[in-house]
Amino acid sequence: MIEFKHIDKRFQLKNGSFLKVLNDFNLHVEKNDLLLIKGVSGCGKSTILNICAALQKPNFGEIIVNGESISKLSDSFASEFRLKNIGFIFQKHNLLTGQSVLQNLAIPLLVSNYTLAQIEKKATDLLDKFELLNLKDEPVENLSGGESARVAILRALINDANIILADEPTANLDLGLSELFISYMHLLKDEGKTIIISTHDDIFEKRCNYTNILNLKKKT
Amino acid sequence: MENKLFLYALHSLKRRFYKNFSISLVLVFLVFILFSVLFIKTSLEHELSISADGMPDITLQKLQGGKSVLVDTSRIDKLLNIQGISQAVPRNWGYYFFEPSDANFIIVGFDAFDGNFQSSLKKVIENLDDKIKFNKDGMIVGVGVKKLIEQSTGLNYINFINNKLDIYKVPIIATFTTQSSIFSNDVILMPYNLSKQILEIPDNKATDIVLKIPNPDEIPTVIKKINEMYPDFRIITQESLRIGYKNIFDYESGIFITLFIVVLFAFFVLVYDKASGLNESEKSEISILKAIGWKSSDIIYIKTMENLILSISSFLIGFAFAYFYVYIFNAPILKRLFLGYSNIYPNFNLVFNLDISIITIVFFLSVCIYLGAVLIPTYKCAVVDAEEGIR
Repeated sequence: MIEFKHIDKRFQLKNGSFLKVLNDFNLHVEKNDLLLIKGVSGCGKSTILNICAALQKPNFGEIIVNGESISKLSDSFASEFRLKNIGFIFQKHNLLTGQSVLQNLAIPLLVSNYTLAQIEKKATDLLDKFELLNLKDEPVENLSGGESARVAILRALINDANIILADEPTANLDLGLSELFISYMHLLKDEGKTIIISTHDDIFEKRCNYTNILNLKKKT
Repeated sequence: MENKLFLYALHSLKRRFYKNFSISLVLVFLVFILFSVLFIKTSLEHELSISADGMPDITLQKLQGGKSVLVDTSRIDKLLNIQGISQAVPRNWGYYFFEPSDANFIIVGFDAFDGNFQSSLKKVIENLDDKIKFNKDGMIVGVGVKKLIEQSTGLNYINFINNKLDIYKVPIIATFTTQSSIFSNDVILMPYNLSKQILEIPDNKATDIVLKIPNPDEIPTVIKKINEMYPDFRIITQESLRIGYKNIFDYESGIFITLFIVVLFAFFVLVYDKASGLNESEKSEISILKAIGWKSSDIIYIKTMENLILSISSFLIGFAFAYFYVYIFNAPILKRLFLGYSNIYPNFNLVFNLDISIITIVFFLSVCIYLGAVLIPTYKCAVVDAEEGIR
């Protein structure tokens, strides 16, 4: 379902030199897998997720998602691809301040073919399902860390994406909230989602029913 | 989809209310100043043009030692021999101190009402009845003169007293139009002979001679012939008066260039601030939107809508303020700076004169420049990799 083929990715540093983060990287993720990508900061965990979400392009190699090569998608098609296929959970949650929980959930669908009424219903149903309906009209800056994390997960689910990418999702959460997050991931896996989580948090190895684990080492 | 994005743009404006409100204030002020100045400029030019219409085709003044002296009226007969001149009449002018108001009026003595000059004078005179003959007792006064006479004496005539202590009672028979009052406000127009007595100008002498040239194409030839005949004449054409009026205005508008620069400077500081890049919060928002599936074109669309709403509403508010300020409240303070004082400050009403080029200029200087300053960095940010802003 997701296939990285001989991916090279390098970044230019401020001093002009290049840092090669991925070198002839290959990966195969099956539908409904829950893959953990582990490793210290700077080893390329986030880069793999970004390439998978077409947020970055590899310098070399090919990545195929649901049978479609996304390595060279134009900016516009990359956005369309994300909207249809990817739910991204960011480390800092990246909710848009000044907007309510409902509005944050609605944002991805504003560029879809759903009507405003349909969007509101989808967002409300999702909040209800995850028992967050009471926060519907709350401005996101008023949310606690745990609530904010849960809203970020729901935003990744609103577009019915079949691939969920989570980048260091528990970095800012305490143990209890991390466990809650993992339980959410199990729920999503049960629904048939394919999940890739990048983390250096050991809790995932201990508590998560992952299907595969990839340990990366830092490049020098 | 566009409707949803438009609503999002509206919501974004509300979300950053204080920031957008302060930008809007600067834009409204800029548009208000630009429109006010340009409205006044256009209206004044229009009124100056009306005033110039009432001026003679050619005015002749005798020069001696570089200054104007009295001219012999005997020259009129010779001037009338020049082909193209249909009428040549003597004219007197001088100052008269009107003690009750402590003001100086300009007296112009001119026998023109039974001749070809009447039609051009009618353009600048209110309620001039064709039946009114400009007899020796009548005068036409500027709006300011009439007001001062009424305020100080409550009468509709002046008892003029010359140096010989002769008294001449002269009633007001008409007033100049308010549109022409930039120049006619402190003017009293009276019959030539009466002006001679009040100003004590000797017989067979006049301050200048005014000519009527029915065919404007003949003016250059007429000027050439007058030059040959009387090289000591200074020849003032209606066209040169128009240019002169415009120059007076343009000179005074220098003050406004200063004002312009101040306002534009404030605006360009704002533009520079915008053009120098988006702040972290704006960059982050764009990156998040891209990461969750928005296209660069969607982001540019909402940013365009946001800033179009902001700039066009500011433009319209600034326009409305300027309209009320200039045409309803008659541009207090600002109008004074455009006008020089003669003897009485002219109190005329500015008349709305729509000029599409003014709207275009102000629209470009405000809305277009502002949009460019906002959208260029937005575009730059929207087309780079989204992940940069969400790390």
